[in-house]
Amino acid sequence: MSRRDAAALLGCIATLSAVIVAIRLAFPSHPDYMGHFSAGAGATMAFLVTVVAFTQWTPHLVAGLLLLCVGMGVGTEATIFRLAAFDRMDFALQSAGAALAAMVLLTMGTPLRNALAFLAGMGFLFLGFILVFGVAGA
Amino acid sequence: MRRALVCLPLGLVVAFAALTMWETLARSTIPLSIDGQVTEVAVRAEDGDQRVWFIEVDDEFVRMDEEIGARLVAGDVVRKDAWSTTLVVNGNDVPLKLSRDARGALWFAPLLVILGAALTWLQLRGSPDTQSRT
Repeated sequence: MSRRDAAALLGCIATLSAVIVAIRLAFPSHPDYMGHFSAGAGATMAFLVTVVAFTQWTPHLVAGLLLLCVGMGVGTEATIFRLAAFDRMDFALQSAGAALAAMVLLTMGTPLRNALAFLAGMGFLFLGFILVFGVAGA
Repeated sequence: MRRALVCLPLGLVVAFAALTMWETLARSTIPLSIDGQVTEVAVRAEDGDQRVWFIEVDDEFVRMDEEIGARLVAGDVVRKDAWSTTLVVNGNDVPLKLSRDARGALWFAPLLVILGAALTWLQLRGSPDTQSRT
């Protein structure tokens, strides 16, 4: 993996982590917001690199998949993440996470970078579920 | 066209940052225009001990911060102009203020856009491939 690829992936992970901390500071009474952001970012990152691994990377493909993920976010927010009603804050944060996560695929990258991005995505997705359902179930 | 597609994620970040700011502001009711009678006050549990307030005014539900929702009961007559910081409830003025969430969104949303722009720049810096290769 080139230094450029490593910087791109680490930059994305660092940005997502920084936003999670910022959400904690901006909305301290809503710890689940961190989970929605993290889950949206992680699911999108893992999904995008998986599809790209089996197809040919193009900006059109990444843009289309990102829009699909945002659309799927509407569905998850209306179903499994729906705790009281459709929450536009949850939707906005998970979709912002999806958009930031998609930036790791603004360039094609190597298979190794994409494999590591998949693992990072699964990590953020797992963290998101813990933060949403862990908090809700506490 | 290709450049526009590359900038799509940043455009979405800007849009969703704006939505976070609007949603937290709207829950304070400050940007909203309200004129009618409260027909239902619904309180739902969310995320452990958090409670969400939905106030129905003339058949339209509005999600409000607890500081406002807890003051209202069915039958109240409420009125306010858009962007006014006073809610009139049964003829009595109730001052409105930005919630902690709304104040947080005022710095969080711009920060989100800045981080998105920085990440876009980092990803595209010196990039040989905004075009596909096999």
